[in-house]
Amino acid sequence: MNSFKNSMIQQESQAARPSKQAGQFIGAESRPLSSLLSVTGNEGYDCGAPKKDGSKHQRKSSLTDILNGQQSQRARRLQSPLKNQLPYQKATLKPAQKLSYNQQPINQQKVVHSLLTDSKSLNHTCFECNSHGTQWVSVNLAIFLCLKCSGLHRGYGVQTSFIRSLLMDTLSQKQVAALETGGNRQLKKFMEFYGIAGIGSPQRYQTVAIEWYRGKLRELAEQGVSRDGGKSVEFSQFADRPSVEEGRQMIGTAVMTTLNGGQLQRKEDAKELRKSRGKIVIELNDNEVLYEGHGTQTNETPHTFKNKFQSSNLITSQTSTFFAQQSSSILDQFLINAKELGDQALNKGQELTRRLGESGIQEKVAEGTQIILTKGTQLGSDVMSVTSQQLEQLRRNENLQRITSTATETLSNVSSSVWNFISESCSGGQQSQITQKVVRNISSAQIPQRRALVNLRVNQPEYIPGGIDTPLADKQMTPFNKQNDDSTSHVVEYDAFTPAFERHNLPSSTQGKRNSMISSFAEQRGVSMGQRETFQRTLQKSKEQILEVEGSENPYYYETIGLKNGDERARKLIYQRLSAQVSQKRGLQ
Amino acid sequence: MGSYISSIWKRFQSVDGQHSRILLMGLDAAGKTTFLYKLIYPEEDIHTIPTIGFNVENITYHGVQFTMWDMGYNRQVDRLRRHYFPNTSGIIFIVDSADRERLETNIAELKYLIEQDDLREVPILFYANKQDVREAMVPAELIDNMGIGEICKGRKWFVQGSVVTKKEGIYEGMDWLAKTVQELRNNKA
Repeated sequence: MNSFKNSMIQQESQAARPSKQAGQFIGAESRPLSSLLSVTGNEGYDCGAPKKDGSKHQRKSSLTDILNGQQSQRARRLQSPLKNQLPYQKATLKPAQKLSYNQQPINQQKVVHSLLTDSKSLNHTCFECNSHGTQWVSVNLAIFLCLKCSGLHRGYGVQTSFIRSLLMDTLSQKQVAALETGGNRQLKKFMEFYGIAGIGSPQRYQTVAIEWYRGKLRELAEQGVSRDGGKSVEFSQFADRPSVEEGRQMIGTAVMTTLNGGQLQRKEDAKELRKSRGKIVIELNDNEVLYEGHGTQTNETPHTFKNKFQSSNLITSQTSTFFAQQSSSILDQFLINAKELGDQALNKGQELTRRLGESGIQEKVAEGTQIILTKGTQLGSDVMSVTSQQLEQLRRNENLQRITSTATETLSNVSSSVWNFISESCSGGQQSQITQKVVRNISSAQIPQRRALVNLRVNQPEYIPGGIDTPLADKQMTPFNKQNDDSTSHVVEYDAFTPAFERHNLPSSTQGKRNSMISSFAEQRGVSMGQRETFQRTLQKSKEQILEVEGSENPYYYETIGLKNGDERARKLIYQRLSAQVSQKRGLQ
Repeated sequence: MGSYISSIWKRFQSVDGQHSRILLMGLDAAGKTTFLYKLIYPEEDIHTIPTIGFNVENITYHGVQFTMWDMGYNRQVDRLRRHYFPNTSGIIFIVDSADRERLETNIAELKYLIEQDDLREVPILFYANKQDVREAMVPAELIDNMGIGEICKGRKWFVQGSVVTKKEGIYEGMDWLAKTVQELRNNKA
């Protein structure tokens, strides 16, 4: 909408420009003639046809003046003040206004402007992408579009959407009327009524409903706009609209007319037809023409073009008649055959019914069913009597009676005991203490799990105070590495394991800060720095001792690897063993 | 003496691989811009917006160098575009053959071009575009409806059915144009 306003302003400014220039050049008395000439040249150019002659004439005369080194009367008049304006100079103002580059009648501009400014009609936003600044219009759909979407709509074809510019094209009276009755809101409502608003944009305009909408819009536009500007029109209220199911169907898949004989063919057939279009027979002015995919490269008229293919023309006509005759004969044969078949079927059916009546099947069937029924009732009664006898015997059995009595007794006992337990526990007897214990156990059982979780985290090798700087540990210590310090994920990881007072001053990937961090962590865990140092010393010692004792062939090599993983037990064990060995060796020596 | 020099100059101009100017004409939404950029980028899907002003591209087709002027069709450019008519060696006139309603506008446009003094004896290549649309006019039908044979008397012309978006038929037309442009150039030289 804004852009449209701007454009309006542009129009005005453009219209105003020549007049300003004219004012300048009239007012400028002391200017040299050449500058004046350039101005007049522009003027003549902008204003175009109506005053072209005058400007041309003016230019010519002044050019000759320059060549002669003189000033003509006309040039003198140009330098004269405003009062002495020539008629063609005065005329420059009017045609410039007339030839505003929109070239639309003023009423029409007003109408379009009112359409764009009416926020209820949603015309100020693009129908497709809802962006502001609609300078383009689909005339046969009566919707307003932005530049980008208008480009897309142009690709759909003229039948689907016919795009015009509001700024550069002139709209006819009917087109403006269509825009008034239609509009973005109308089509949106109509599409929602049919439920086709969600379909992709090229397809939804090719439905039966939208095809009807286009036709109706045209019809209404030809009738003229109603007094309220077409706002009362509701397209879903018309009686002749297609039904919802019908309206959702696509046009493209239905039928397609071809040029040979006006036959109707399906879309798939049409594709093949298009492939072989080089050899299609078409009709032009009631004469058959064989088309071979190219036009002619001659200066001759189309009549000679027809004559070129006369020989093939004959063949096609002959073949067509031949095929027509054949097809008709086949059809006739088919019809006769079908009739015969139908007659035969009728006869046989009648025979069947007759024979059935003669044989008396119905009576026989009735007798059979009666026999079956009587026998069935007899069987049922027998079975019932037998089962009832057996049931009575079972009831009389003593064992069963005993079992039932004991079961009832035990059940009653159990229920009474349970009831007692519940009642006591509620009142606060011995049983209540038991239940409290059970509850306690359950609650305490959860605590070790929590602790274990915490321990798991703490016992990770890189966070153990005094842990050795192994390459593996270094990898896991990514939060303190120089390379990966910038990434936020590591900082988060680091945050999770640092105490709250350390979080404020995060170490910036320096070794010293890292150590300080570890030491603080160690303090928190109750391990002093001294302990750590002693531990490291002992480890170094052990290493030296290993070298002394074993040299390169170290039997505890694999256990030292275990050391690296931070198992303190392993360390202690190894240290003990090594020390024992060393002492042994020294003793031997 | 002056005429002699000018004749030599002309010879140099014509022989020495000069770009021959081709105008792409036709109504809006006929497929001019799409045609131009399909020639340059054959494998890409091209989605254009309405041309405001014009697009100019250099193309070498079968050894002939073309400068294609894709003139946007609207009233704004209408008054300016005749300044680009001199020294044209060919016109490509693209028609939306599915648009039967604006056939008369097409004819008027064609007549306007033919009446131009600068475009005398310039060969015209017609593309009957959008052959894939139903109800599209076949080239022969277009020739008859537009009366191309009568309008374009006295100059070379050629009508080619095409689907520009699918590259169908565009090279056949360009073959003809390259051939005729070269022939005319040789005749002049």
